Amino acid sequence: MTHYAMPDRKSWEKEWKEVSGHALVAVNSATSLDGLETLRLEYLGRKGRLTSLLKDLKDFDLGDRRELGGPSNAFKEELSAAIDAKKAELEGAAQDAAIAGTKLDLTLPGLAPAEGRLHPLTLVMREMTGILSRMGFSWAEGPHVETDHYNFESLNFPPNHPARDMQDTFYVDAGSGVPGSILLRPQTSPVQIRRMEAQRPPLRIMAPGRVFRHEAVDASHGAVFHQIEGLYVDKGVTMADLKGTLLVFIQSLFGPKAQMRFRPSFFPFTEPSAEVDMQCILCEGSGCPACKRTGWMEVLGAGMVHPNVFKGVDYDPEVWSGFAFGMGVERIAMLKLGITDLRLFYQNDLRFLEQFK
Amino acid sequence: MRILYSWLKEYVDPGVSPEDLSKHLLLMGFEVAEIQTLGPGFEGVVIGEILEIGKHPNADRLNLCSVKVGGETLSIVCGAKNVAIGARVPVARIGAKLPGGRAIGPAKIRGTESQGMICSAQELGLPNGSHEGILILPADTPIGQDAAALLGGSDHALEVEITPNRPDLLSHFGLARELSIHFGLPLNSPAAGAVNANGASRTVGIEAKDGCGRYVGRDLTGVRVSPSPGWLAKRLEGAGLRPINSVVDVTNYVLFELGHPLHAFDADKLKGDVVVRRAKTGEKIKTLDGKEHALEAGDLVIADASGPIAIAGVIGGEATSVTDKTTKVFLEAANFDAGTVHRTARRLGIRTDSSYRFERGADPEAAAAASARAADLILQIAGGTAAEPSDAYPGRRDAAPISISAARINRILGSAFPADRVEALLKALATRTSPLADGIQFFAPSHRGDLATPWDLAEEVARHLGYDRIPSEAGPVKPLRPKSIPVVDLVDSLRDAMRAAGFYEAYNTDFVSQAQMDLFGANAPKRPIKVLNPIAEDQAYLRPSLVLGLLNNAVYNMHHGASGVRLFEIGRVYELNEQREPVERTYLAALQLGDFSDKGTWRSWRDDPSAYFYYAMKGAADAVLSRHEQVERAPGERNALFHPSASVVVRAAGRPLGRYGAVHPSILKSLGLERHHAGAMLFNLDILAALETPPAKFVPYSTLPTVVRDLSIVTDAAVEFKNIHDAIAGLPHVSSVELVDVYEKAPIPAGKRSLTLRIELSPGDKTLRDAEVQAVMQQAIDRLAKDCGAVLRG
Repeated sequence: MTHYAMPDRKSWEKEWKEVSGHALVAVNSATSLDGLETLRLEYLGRKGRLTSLLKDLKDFDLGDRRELGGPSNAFKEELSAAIDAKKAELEGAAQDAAIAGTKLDLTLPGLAPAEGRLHPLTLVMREMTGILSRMGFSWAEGPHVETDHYNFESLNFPPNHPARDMQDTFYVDAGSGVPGSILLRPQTSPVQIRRMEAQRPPLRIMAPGRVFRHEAVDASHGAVFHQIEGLYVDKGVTMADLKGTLLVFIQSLFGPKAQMRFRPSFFPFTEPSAEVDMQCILCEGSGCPACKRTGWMEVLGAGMVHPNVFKGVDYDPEVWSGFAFGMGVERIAMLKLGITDLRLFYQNDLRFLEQFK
Repeated sequence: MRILYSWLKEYVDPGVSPEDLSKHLLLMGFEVAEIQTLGPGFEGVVIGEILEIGKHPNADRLNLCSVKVGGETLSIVCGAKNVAIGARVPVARIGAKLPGGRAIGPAKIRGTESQGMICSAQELGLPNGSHEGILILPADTPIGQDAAALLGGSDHALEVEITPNRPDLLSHFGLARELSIHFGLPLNSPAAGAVNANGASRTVGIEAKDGCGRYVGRDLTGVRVSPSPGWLAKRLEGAGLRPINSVVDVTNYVLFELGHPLHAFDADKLKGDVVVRRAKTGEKIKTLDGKEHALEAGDLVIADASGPIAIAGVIGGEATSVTDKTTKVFLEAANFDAGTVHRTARRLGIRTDSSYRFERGADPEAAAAASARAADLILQIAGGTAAEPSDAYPGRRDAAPISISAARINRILGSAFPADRVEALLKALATRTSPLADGIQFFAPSHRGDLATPWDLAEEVARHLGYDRIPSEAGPVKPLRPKSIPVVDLVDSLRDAMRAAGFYEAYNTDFVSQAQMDLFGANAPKRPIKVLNPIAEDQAYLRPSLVLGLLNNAVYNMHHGASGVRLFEIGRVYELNEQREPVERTYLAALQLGDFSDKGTWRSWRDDPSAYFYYAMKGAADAVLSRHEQVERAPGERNALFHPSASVVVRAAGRPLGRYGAVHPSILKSLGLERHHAGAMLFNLDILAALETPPAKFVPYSTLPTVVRDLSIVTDAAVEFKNIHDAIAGLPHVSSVELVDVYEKAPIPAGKRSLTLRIELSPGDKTLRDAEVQAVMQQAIDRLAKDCGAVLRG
């Protein structure tokens, strides 16, 4: 599409004047991508007007070529850039126009993947065992169906002693021995004995698991519930170590403001023994219905391992000392999650389970 | 232990309110469950004197009395038989309030006005309220005085929880002794008057020396049994006991005072010599509670020539009990073996104040003192004469001394209690101490059988000087090699896997009913573990399968508005082995039931719920087994829980590992869920955890582009996908074969089905050329035709 016939300087300059005078204006005022493409072909196409002008320069004198070549080549670059810019602008506008019709209710629910839930007791036990494990306690397991030996005798409960009545015990029909010798463990403490039998000190274990109590089920008592037991045996372990360890544990679980109180108690397998209260997390000690207006809540039992327990597993109590503690998981889960009825944990209502993410 | 505050204060005055005392007791190790205020229970009652008694004009049985109350005289109608001129009586004036909320107002009785009421003891709620008639007070009682101040006197009862190791605190004096040590206060002992004794008491033979460490017997004669005086009855009632008669009440009084149980026999009813012996099989005794009990050989009894007359330490026999007619009393203060008493009391289901103390361990030294105290009180109240006591004491033993020092105690506690305070406390606790080079020898008093080791003394020191004074500072700890338990780690990771697969975690209790077990029909576990003392009949067995709980949860949720459930549980199941030993296994169970809107990745199950639930559970099972390619899967055989032709048995090295598939429709029908379909799976995690897991290892892959080709084929419907997959999975460059769709309807002929496969080809070290791709695809078509009779779908 040559617009001039001869490659003479005069007609070249006439054509150059036209092209350079109009092309940019035309490109910048293009209103569609098609129109822009037509302009690109008109000027920069293989036989386009600017292309032809540049091509024809080769037939001119060196002097003319130098004089005319500079500005015309520069103009070609300028025009190309202008076409690219205009193209981007028109494409953007076309895209905006295309999606302008999309109207969404941005508040409709998202398309969720089918996501399950972990039971709140799993979540709380993970938190508790996670803290203890970072404090150096290893997981230990034991059977739920236990013998009188591991649950009572080796824990320094004398036969026919009322201390055995402190935990009402389920018995099962198993074994060939006397009825009443095979039971469902009412405490996780038998795991202490099994681990100490299997391992020489020092040792530091936690034993999470189910326990069974023969008592009427209500909002705060279950016949089946969970405990976490801790045991640490080494040389020179003291009650101050026990208090320090439990303070770190409780503050990790309930926050750095959590306060703890030790008061004397009795367990056959520890001496001295203690009940450990935590300052009520609801009223921060000022007294409320949840803590029976005392400002404190009982959260665990603890003490120094009784010398008779050590003797039973062949640890010399004059050489080794240790502490043990045990706590109810449901009680702590109820405090942490604001659950007021223990039975909800075992009902498995989906409306309950789905709340804990 | 119910403690009357006024009674306690007779022996020690803690100088604090009952509320504050309960706070101290808590920090000493004894929680006070309740504090009751025992008020006089009445107001507006004054003392009056009966001046005149006249007949009521309209009623024969009523009198009209003139009663002087201070400055005025009231006219009061009274029906009691014991009205007497000059008697000083409590008068409820108009406006008075009596126990039970009864208000006294102006009243006309049979037409005659009564300006108040003359009260009986019962009407005032006073302890000796069983007496008939109005309460007649001593002649010197001041007229006009407020009766509440004179008769009532408010008091407090504290319900103190005493731990089983401290039987010495199960009495008012015992608790006072503890408080006097704790607060450093003087202790008053109960006044035991010298008993004027004549002659000797009968001797009781101790045949069972391991059951009876001491027996103090005392004969009393000329006793007149009557109701107890008011002060005694009121104390017993305040302590929660019912007054019976003076002799029995004294034995109970001394029990609550000193803590030592006593028993009184009617000596006239004893036949021949009395012995303490083990019961003979077949012997029976009718006890004070009116029940007849069959005795066993291990039981300890007091017996005379006629047979057992009391179950030692537990309860007396009815035949020899003290009644209103008793004149001769044989008083027992003995020491019985704790284990024997506990075993017998538990077996017979009898729990008495006596057995409660003996089974915790009574103090043998206290028996003689208790006997003397009771004899003294009986003589004072019921008259008569006492003989010298007989005292058989074969069990006398001195406790071994404990070598102890403040330093040793501080080493146990990690504390810094000053040596002088520790030693002063130990001296207050001991019967005596003697010095050692580096501490003291501690001789425990006979009532502190719980003090036997340095650790026991460390607790005593901490209890009295304060647990809060032990620092909360843990020392440095050595790192120990952590032990991991494969099944625990597996459980942890499977919980996350099941959650990611869309299942909610359930926790069920371990108890199931006979009806739940019956769901399994003929496949019921052969040796379930039976609970000997279940809380309820429907909790009689330990669960043999986790599925029972999940099915219950499904029923519950479907009845509470759920359209479907997806639940899993990880826990123990129980069974006996052939030797009747309990066996526990850790299982994973999952149940999916009802409607679900996510429909998986391929579609042909849509018309067939059994198929959907089978494939859904298979997908979940694949997640569980993802690291265990070596397990074997075989079509499920007959099984109570699973659909016989839509389930699979999984084995590892021949051992059954688990099952998954659709739930058998008959199970759903039994549960009333016949409108629904379900899938389930079960895995034995002990076996799964024991399988070797190939360690994760990187497999290099090509960075060149892969090629994906779909292939639609038609085969006989009976040709299994596994064969089709395996026919082409091994071809060169084939890196995966996935199922895109299954289609079985027209135009596919009956008995045939069409499968669309998505085959991914991975290059080696050069980009795959078209010709190479064509060659592999042709090989695949040929192989499918040869191995599976497949033709390309047109």
